[in-house]
Order: sequence, then C-alpha cells, then structure tokens
Amino acid sequence: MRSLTDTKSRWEETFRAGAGIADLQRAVKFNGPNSPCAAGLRSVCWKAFLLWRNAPSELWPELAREARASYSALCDQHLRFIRHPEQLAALTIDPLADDPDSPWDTVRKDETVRAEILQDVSRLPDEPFYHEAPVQTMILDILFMYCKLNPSVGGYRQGMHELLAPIVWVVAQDAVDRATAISTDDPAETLMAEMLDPAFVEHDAFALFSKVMESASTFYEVDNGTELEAQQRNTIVERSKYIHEVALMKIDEELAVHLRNIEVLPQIFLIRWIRLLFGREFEFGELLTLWDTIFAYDPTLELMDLICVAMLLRIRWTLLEADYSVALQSMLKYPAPPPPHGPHTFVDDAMYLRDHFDADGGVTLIFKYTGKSPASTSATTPTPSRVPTPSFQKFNSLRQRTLGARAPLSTSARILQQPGGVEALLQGAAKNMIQRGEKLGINQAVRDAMGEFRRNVQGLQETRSTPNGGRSLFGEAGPPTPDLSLTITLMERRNSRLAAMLDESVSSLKLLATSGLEGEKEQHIEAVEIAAAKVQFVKACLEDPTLALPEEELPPINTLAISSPTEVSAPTVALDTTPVVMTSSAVDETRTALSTPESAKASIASPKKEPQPMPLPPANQPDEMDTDDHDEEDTLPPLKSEITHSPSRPLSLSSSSSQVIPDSPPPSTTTTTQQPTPLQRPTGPIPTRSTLAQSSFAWMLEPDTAISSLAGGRPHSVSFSSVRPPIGGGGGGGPGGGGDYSTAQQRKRANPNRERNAFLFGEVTADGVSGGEAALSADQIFGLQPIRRGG
Amino acid sequence: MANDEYDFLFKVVLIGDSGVGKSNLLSRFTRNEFNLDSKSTIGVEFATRSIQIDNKTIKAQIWDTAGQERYRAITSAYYRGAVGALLVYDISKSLSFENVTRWLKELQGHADSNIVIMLVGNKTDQRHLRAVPTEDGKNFASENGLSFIETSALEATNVDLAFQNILTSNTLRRTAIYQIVSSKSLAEEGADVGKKFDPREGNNISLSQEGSKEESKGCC
Repeated sequence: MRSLTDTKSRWEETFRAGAGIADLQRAVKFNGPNSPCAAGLRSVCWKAFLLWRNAPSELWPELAREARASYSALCDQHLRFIRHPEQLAALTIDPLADDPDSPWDTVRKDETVRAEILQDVSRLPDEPFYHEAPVQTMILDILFMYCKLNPSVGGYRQGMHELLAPIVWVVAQDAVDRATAISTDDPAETLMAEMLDPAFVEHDAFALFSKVMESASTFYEVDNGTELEAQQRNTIVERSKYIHEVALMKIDEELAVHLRNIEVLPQIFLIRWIRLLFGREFEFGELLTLWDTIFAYDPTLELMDLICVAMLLRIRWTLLEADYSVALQSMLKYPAPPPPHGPHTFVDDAMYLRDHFDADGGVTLIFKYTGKSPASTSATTPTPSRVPTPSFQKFNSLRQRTLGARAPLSTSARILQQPGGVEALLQGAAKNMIQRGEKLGINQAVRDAMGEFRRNVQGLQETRSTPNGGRSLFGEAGPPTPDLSLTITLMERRNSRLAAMLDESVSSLKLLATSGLEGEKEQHIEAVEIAAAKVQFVKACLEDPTLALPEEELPPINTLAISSPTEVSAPTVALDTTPVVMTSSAVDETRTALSTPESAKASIASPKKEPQPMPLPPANQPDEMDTDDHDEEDTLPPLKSEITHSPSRPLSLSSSSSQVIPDSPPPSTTTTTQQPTPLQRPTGPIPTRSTLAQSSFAWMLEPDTAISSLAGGRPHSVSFSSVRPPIGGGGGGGPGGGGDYSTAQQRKRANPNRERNAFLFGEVTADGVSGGEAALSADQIFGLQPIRRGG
Repeated sequence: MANDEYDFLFKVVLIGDSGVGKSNLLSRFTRNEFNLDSKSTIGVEFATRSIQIDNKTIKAQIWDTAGQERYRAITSAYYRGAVGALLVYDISKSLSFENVTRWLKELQGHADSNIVIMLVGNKTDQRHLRAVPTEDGKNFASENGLSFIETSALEATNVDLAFQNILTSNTLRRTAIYQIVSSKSLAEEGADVGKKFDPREGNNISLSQEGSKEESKGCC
C-alpha cells in the first residue's frame, strides 16, 4: 500500500494533462513512463475510462459512493450465510427440508458454485499477490457475486478469474493507507483518500469487472440449446470464424488462406486470446499497458477482432512458413513483441485497420513491423466473399450466399493438366488465383514446369521424334507444334479478357465502396451481386478453358480453326445455364443478376487493348500509417480511404470502355480444343476431385467446398451429393480406412505437410458438426500436395 | 518447422473434470515437468513428443483442454482426428470419478468409434486422501472396455506408461493396416505410372504425369 504522499503526487500526476476523458485518453496514448496509468493511478484511469466515461469528474466521487453502497447491499443479501454460517444455523428452518427455497438449499448450491470458482482462483498465475488469502477470498466473492447477479451469463466460466485478477491487483495497488489518510484535513486529500479507500477495493474491482464483462461476457457465452446447436451458434466460435474468414481474409488474404490450408481452426487459440483479453499472451506489465490502451479507446471491446488480426499480422511471416503444429505453437505461445512496439501497439494497429479494412491496410502494417511487404497482396481482387461492407451481418450473409464462388484452388490440379489452364495461371488473368498460387508455392512450380514444357516444345519442333507427346497434351488436332503456339496465343488473349472482366467487377465494387453505401440498400446489394456474378463467371471460365467467352472481334489468327461448331454456342451456355457452371445457392442470385438486361450487359466486358500486365502493388508507404488523426473517432466508416488505396483503378479505365452483348455468338475463335481435358484418356481415367467425390472417401469433402470445387460444368456434382454418406453416419469408407491410408502414404513422402494430413485423416470424426467445422480441407490437400512438392 | 521424421502421427486428447491434473500429465509426458500451481487451462493447449515404439517413430500430439470446456466451443475440433483419449479422474475426488461416465458419453458422441480410451486415476501421490479405490477404477474400465492405469504426474509414476499404452495399441493397429495399404497403393501407383508415363515420351509430360500420379495417390 502506498503512502499518502506518494499517492498524492500520483493523483496529481494522473490529472496533469487534464481531468477530462479526452485528456486522459491522449495521455495514455503515449504509453511512455509518464502515462497517467503508469506514473499516476491506473485504477483511477480505468474507472474513468470504464465507469465514469460520460460523467464530469466532479461527479466521480458520488458515482463511486453509489456503486459501493449498492455492492455492499448486494453482498449482504447474497453472502450473508456464506460469510456468517452461524446466522444460518440460528434459523428455525430444518436444514434437511425438501424445499428448494430453503436458505439451506441455496447455500448448498452456492457452495458448489464457489467450490468451482475457488478451484480456478487457487490456480491463478504466479503473481504472489493473487495467492494471499484475503485476496483469494475477495476474488472468489467478486466472481461469485457476478455470477449471482448475472444469471444470464450462465454461471462461472473458466477464464473470468484471470480477467478479474489484474483488475483487483490494480485497484489494490492504488489503495492508500487509511490511517494516514484520516489524519489529513485537506478536503482534496480527504476526497482522494475516500476514492482510494482500501476497504472498497472489492467494491471497485467488482464495478470494473462487471463493466468489462458487459462486453466480454459474449466471449464466454454458451448457448443453452442442444449440444449440436450450441456448437453452431457458439459466439466465440462465430467470432473466431469472423476474425479468420472475414477480417483476416480481407486484410491479409495470403495468411488467412494459409491458416485455412494448414487446418488451423481459429478458435483453438482465439478462445484464450479473447476470453482473457490477451492476459496469458503477454508479460504482466505489458498486459496492463495493453489494457490501459484498450480501456481508453475501446471500452466496449469492439476492437478485439482487429487486435487479433494485428497480432497475426505481426507474426505473419513465421506463420506462412509454419505447418500445423508450428503455427499453433506460435499462436499459443505468442512471441513477445519487442519494444518500442509492445503489445499496446496492437490497439493502434487495430484502430488503423478499422479505418483501413483492406489489403492495403494489412500491407502497411506488415511493412511497418517487419520491413517486408507481401508480394502482391495489394493487387488483390475482391472475390464476392470479400466485398467491403460496413455491416458485418450483411457481410456474413453475403459471404454465406456466395460461398460457392470461392476455392479456385480446388481446380488447380485440373488446370495443371490443361495447357490452357497453365497459361491462365501464367498470364495472370486471374490475379486472385495467381496470388493464391504464389502463396502456396504453385506458381514457381508452374513456371518451372512451363519453362520445361516450352523447351520441350522446341525440342519437338527440332526432332519431331515424339509427336505422341504433343498429341497427348493437345488432343488429335493436327501436328502439335503450330497448335501449341496458337493455343497459347489464344489462351493469352482469353486470359487478358478474363482479367478485364475481373477488373471491371473490381472497379464497380470499389466504386460501391467509395460511395459509402449510401442510398438504396437494394441497389447496392444488386450491384454487389452483379459483381459477384461476374466474378463467378470468370471463375467458371478459368476452371474450364473450354468455356468460350462472349466474343468480340479478334484478329484472325485462328487459321487452323481448332474450335468446333459446338463451341460457338458456348457463351450462351456459360450465361444461360449458369447452374451447370455454378452450384450452391449463389446460382440463383447469379442467374437473376444475369437475366436482368443491364446486368447481363454489364457482366461481360472485354478490353480492346492488349493484355494488361498485372498492376504492380503500389510502393509501400509506411508513413501513410497515422493513427493520430482519429484519436477521438470511435465510429469511422471502415472504408474511408478506398480510393487512394485502390491499386487496380487505373486499369478499369481501359476495360470499361468496351462492352459486348452476351447473347451474340462469338466468332469461332477463343477456346482450345473441344476434346475432354487432354490427359483424360479413355483408358486411364485420372482420379480427380470428381472421382474423389464419387469414391468412398467422399465423406472427406466438406459440403460447401466440395460443391464449389466441383462447379465448372462437371455433372459429377450430382453424383457427389448422392454418394455422400448421411451426416452422423459411419462415414462412407470409414474414417479408419482414410486414416490408415493416409499414414501409409505419408510415410513414403518426406513431406512436411504430412503432419497435417495425418491429423486430418487420422480417424476423422464423422459427425456432422465436425464436418461443418472442417471448412475446406480435402480439396486443398488433394489439389495441392503434388504441386507443392514439385515446387 | 517440424522437419523431424516420424512414421506415425497420433493425436491423443486428455479429458476429465477440471483440476484432475490433465495439464500436468501433459507437461510430465512431453517435457518431464510438473508444476504444483499450474494455471487453469483456458481453451486448448497442446504439445508433442516423439517416442519409439516397435522400431517406429511415433509423434504424439497431445491435446489438453479446460475441464469446464465440456459441451463448449471447441468440442468437435478437439476430438477430430484423435486416435486416443486419456480419461482422467482424481483419485482423491470421488466426484471426478463419478463424472467419468459423462465424459465417456461425450467421447462416444464426438470421437471416432475406434478411439482407444484409457481410464487414468491420477494423483496417486495423495495416498492419504484417496477417495476412489483402485478396484473401482479397474471395474469401471473393464465394464466399459477401457484400459486402466493409476498415475501420479507429481511423482512421475506411470505417466509415460499411460501414454505409451495408448500409442502402442494405435501403432500396432496402424502397422497392420499400413502393411496392407502400402502394398496395395504401391501396386496401384505402379499401374498408374505404367498407364501415364511412357518413357519414350521423355520429359514431355512430366508436369502432368507428376500431377496426376500424385493425385491418384490421394484419391484411391
């Protein structure tokens, strides 16, 4: 306990910058040793931020008095018999009476609750203060009272004790010795002594804890429905999913995709991060500074999600190289951020990300702290799942509706088998795909392979000794060599047009974002859906190079006329029979979007220009990052800086000028051969995702990803759903079989990924719930393993 | 990075009431550490240790969760892929033994039906406080087809044995299946290569051949 003099100087220090909340906030922002929380009285600051935020400082003593009195009264009511068991014994009630209202019964139930709490309180972290007997009792009482008074929270939950303990520590730390306080005559000192009265540490800590829990209780919330429902609706799981699949995906897609690919379920580490407000992640002193900043700027804990994202960004390079267990280990033992960028700077980052909720914001932060910036993240093309929308609810529903549009990688293996697909990757038409490929090491593999491929083609021209090689790749269409270059040229053309289409949807989305979503909600939704439809169309085209694009005039390079008459009508197919191309609920919307005249017109656009190279990411400007200008802004629209940060805007000018009517059949050009994908000879069907879906391992496919990955005009999606075993059943081929097979397989490869596979396939629970949580999975593994290895 | 070589990776979960010593069993097995005042587990912890069984390197990935986490946020993620479970109770707390039935139900509801379960009566160092006789544990285990062992994480009694038991039974099972599957898949792979890889074609289709071969491995 501090002396009166020390406390007095601290008291003055606390209010040196001014007694208003804004003054305190500003002072806390510069978290140096002079922060009012460090040099002054932290408990007073916390109370100001959390309890008295909207009250003038003159009212603080009164507010404190009221809260203390009310807590005392409640304690008398609920803790009477627990603190004074002799009073219970004095009652004239039969202790064994079978009456649920009997105080005996209540006490027995209370004691059970208290025993449960005590078990955790006695296991608080090492801080000796926590283990002093009176402190233990105090923490126990506060938690017990909180549970008593907030039955909706559903009782005590492990973790609350570690949220409370630092609060108790802070309040107790600032308490002033009453003996010295009473002796003073100065009214200001009397007031101070009253505010810091050690007799009310418990009361004040309870008030602070209750306030924090107003927001934090959702982290502990458990639905009272059935087990299955509880898992699906569990807020912490939902929140974790949001952080991973929406926020991180938007800010650092490469990292989000990587975490998804290595099967790290976000709630595994986020539960602890969030429930304890990062209490276990950082050293105690740093944690307090972090809490100072959180309470000062985000008392309702709305920034938690973005703080988590900021933490992930800080270790993103480590994570990108990590496999499953390494990644989990780095997140469960988060590396201490070196000064001066201690944990409190995550709040700054989160505020920055709130205002720059996009890939550029992520790039800026990554560069700021690591000096490296992600290769091409800023050129990200928003897929429908990442449409910027300020409202998360809308966001989520949109995400769910367009889920089928994702997972372009699932087809990478197939693309590899098709020269057109390879070219598609190479030419960068599908920026998004390229990007993902880059992240997953595909591109290098593809480039290497393509280099080899081209060399071999030259070899073919020279020797003409093995025409079969060419034929096996490109079907039976004449001598291989001219075909090859022609095909490649055609594909390049096709890809650049696809790129233009993508670009157009990007710019319309960006436009939408910059409009701030004012005005008609339906219009915006429609616009977003149109964009989504376009993106899906491009995706379909990328997945299946035999799909012709709606054509514009092309130079007559196609003298060999590879394409067959049936393909001439392909564009119509692509547009009118969308269900063939896309499955899932997104289809309906796409269809709707495409059927409206304007949108149909808008959905197909081709550039007149030569293929545009991918726009390079803008040079990173770390100085762009300034969080100072929104000190007091709590509710900035997240998309404020969309225009200046949009790297692909220049491109949109070139592509928006030319639009084609989709129904006009194209000249017979564009696409490659009509033959089935070259390697799929009739004699040796190559197992693909489709066959996986048909096999007894279909249970491995998670419904959404499976369906979307099968999209692309493959009729197998039908058979997929029929083969898939009923949820909750034994699971098709049997989990044991899957696990055993994969282990065997993994042993043969010295592949670092095998751990993930073994984890995934080692006897998978076939229950529906876990299936639902295993977002993605099988397709990435089957699709990517060989490629990665090749790279 | 986890570059260490291993033959099998087994995920083993620890379950049981709060405070029965799950985290200390984990730290004793993976780091040979015991912490008398270890903190309550929040969410999930996990650690790995590689051991040799039957000339095979087994990497054990041990998952530990909060005892209160039953029916909670991570149940399905927790059990997914687990091949073994240590169902732990505290021999000095009869309630933790009574709750074993509930944990068993949860296992049956969420884990794979082939999961190997071992009932573990922990804290045998608390001899003077024993509330659950060894016989009770044994009987319960045999009635329910579980293995049984009593351990003391504090005294490091039987901890390795408990984990080894789980891992060994899985290893034996896997080895048997592994032999079948590996010969089968080798044959299939050979067939695949024969079909798709014609040496006369040189390197021409190395790209696609590689991709398709690998893919077939995954799908067969």
